[in-house]
Amino acid sequence: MVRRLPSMVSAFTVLVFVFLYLPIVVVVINSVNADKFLVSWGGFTTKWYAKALNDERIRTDFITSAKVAVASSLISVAIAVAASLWARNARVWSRRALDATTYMRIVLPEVVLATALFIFIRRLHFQLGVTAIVIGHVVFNSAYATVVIQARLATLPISLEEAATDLGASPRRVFQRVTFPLLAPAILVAVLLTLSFSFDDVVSSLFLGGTNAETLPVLLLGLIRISVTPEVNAIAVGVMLITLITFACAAVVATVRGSIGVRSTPQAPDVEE
Amino acid sequence: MTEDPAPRASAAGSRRRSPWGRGSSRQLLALPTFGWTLLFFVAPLSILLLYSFGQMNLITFDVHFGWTLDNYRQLNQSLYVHTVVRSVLLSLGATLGCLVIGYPVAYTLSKQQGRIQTLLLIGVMIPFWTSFVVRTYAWVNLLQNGGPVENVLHAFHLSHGSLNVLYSPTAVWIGILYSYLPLMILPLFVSLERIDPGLTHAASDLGASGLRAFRRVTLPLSMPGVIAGCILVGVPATGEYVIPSILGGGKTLMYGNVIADQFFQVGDYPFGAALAMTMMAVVTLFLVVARSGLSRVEDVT
Amino acid sequence: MSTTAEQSRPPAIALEQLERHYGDLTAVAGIDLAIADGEFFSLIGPSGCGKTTTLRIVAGLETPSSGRVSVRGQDVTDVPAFKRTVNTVFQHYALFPHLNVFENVAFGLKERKVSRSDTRRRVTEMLELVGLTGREKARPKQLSGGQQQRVALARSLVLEPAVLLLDEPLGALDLKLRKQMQMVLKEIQREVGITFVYVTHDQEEAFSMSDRVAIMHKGKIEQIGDPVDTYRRPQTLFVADFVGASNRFEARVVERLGSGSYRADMGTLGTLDVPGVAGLAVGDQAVAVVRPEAIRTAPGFGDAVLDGTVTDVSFMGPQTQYVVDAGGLGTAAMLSPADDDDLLHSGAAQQFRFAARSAWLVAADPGPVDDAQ
Repeated sequence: MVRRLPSMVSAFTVLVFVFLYLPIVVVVINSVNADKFLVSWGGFTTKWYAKALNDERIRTDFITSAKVAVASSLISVAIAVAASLWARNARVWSRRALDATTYMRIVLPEVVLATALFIFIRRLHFQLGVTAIVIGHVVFNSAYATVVIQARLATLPISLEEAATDLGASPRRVFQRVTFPLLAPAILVAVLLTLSFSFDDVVSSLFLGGTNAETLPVLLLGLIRISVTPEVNAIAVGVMLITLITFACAAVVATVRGSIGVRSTPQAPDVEE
Repeated sequence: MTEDPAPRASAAGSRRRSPWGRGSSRQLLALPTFGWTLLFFVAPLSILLLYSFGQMNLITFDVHFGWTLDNYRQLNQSLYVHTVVRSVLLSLGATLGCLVIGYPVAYTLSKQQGRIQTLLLIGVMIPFWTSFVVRTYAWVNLLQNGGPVENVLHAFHLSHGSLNVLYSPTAVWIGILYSYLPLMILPLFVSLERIDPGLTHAASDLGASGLRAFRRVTLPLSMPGVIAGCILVGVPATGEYVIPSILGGGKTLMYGNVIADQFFQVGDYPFGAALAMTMMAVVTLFLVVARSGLSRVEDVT
Repeated sequence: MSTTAEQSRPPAIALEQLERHYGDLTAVAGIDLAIADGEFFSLIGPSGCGKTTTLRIVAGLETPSSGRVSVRGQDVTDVPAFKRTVNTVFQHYALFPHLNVFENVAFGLKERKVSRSDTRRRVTEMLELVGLTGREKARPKQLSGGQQQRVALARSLVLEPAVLLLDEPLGALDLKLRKQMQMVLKEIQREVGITFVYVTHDQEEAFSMSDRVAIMHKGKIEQIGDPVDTYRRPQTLFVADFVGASNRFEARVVERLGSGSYRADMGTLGTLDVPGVAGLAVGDQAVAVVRPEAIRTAPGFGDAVLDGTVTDVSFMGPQTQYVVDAGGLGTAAMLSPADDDDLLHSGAAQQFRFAARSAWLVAADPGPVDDAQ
């Protein structure tokens, strides 16, 4: 039942959405704004896009960011799936330990984590670089992924797995034929989430990249601090488009597979024919 | 249809587990997460703690591990204390702002159905998927003197003269609020969505409708979401680096900037470590307080 | 009942000294049970009595703390669920939401690597048996509760298990549907001939379908027998109360009369010759259980007389229930077919009568199970 919302509240929500998208609109507009100083509208141009695409450093950094994002995403989700499956059967205090570490990793300011890892890696005389960044990203990304996967797993009744094993499926087969397919939507969400967190990350990438690896956001931050740089807007719009297209594809795939309801709520009336 | 017995703790303990119990091979599943956490979370933080008690020779960059509290004493200088206080205040302010703005939005979302609700949720999330750095940079453009915000305010006669808000704490506040808003909206939404609409119906049955029903039924029941949102926003915001960097004009406005400064500019790792540990202590304190509030609230709901 | 030919076959299920503890809590406190091949056997009892745990142990979904489980003579105590020739129909059906009806029913066959053509044949036959032909492509959530039920049934039966376990499968259905499904289940069991082990808290349901029932209480079996026997000759007060409404009257054993009868002093009701459980001794305090339907108001009926006042009348359709205040004897309930002539009104003072031989004596202390109390 939808009770009528006070129109003030709805109007306010619209305003907030405007607020949320305002900077994005600005970015898009400025990406084609010929005015070099971005003070006012200087006419339409695509030169910033051209500049961005031709810049060697930007291309390299984009690829670095992509590599880091994919690696950290896959590792994080794998860790999260394993942890979530284990947590279901674990003793209460074990599960609480997992919850605590998950929580801490999400909530702790990234600066603290990044500095700690920075010192740690340096201390062990390892190299800063792509691997170090991936390690840092996995620390918090696996926590987010765990939350997503655990939430989905909690909605899967144990009776489904029991039924599968009752019908003759070994534990491995139960996972393969029942658990994993039902978990798939959450895994997809977790992958997308961690991909975007990783790609967009600044602090860990900054501390752990060293001189070897620079990610796109770090580059952007540097460019911004030095001077007014219109091409950053072009870069951002480019990345945004790539991201949105990826997500849209994923959404289409998920919907085409059909909406999978887990609760077997009868849609048809309980009338015997 | 009665509720499906998903795994839950029954009176007899959580009996209904996966049929293959707790074999040793299953314990292996816990290894990745705990292993990673131990190696790359706990260990580094411990070393950070250790460093905070050490001393760095700024000429040779050798670290000497004493057990000195010098680093922490150094913290006590008004400069750093000011920064800590400012960070906490900015974070609290942004949290409050997010709450005030985010609650109505979450409420609206929770009242929507099906497709529309999904679309709106995605709508809230989409900004997340655009570059955080560049979005924050857009605020530079928006907030600068002569920029769009100033023009709009002038048009509505809400202010005169130069805006002068860019590169000030206010700009940082706006930036944090903007970036963290979805993080407040989501837990609020989840919490509000869970509230049984039958409860507000019952309330109006008993004579309390509209605003009163909201105040006495919806608001208290959404408290877990409120607290969760405040934690998700308030804690990480204290350590923000990028936003004060861009919107604060390069000054070391917030705690995160000070820490980064120590590591990249000054090179005094032990002092930087002490700063980081102190932040962690402040954050943990805040968390403990908030969590105990959360469990008290959850006990009731 | 079983013939000697059937008795020479090993029981479909045999439980020996089965126990299951969860820390301090005992769910199953020592059960010995043998279920014959082809039987429709029900395990009934109140919530928490251990019946579901027992069923799950037989299925292999739980491991017993001690004791043995055998299926057709084979010890399966340490055999995991996926290797047992026992299948379960779950309370909430547990249909796989990401598979359609056909794939659900074919699930176990696929695990056994049955050929595609054989699978198709067997699944089609089974769907016909449960009356769901034509719905192969439907998803579980498109089906009604009753239909989902039947898919769950088909999914287990198609594997031709030695025993089919049913865990309160009709609990989520409304009354009319439940009654219909009871008939369907009974029919299918007869047609297929597989042993059914049925768990329910609904005594009526179990009685109407089963060849034998076992009443469970606090982890132990209080009584096993066929429904008629259990209803007419309950061995303990708990069983008497569980299988039907019982009026209780105090009685003290005065003499053992042999052939299962006792002479009992029943206070204001007089001294009556009443049948009862074996093993009561002279001087024992006992309880005479009288079913509400055994009480009449017709003058001259029976040999025991209660003077009482009607305090409540409930007209239920085919029957009317009266609650009677019988003074020092307490409250009694009476059930009578609703004949116009016999309808009493609240407040009516009457004589209520029953035949001594329709009463049944059980021991007064709570049954042999509660020694831990």
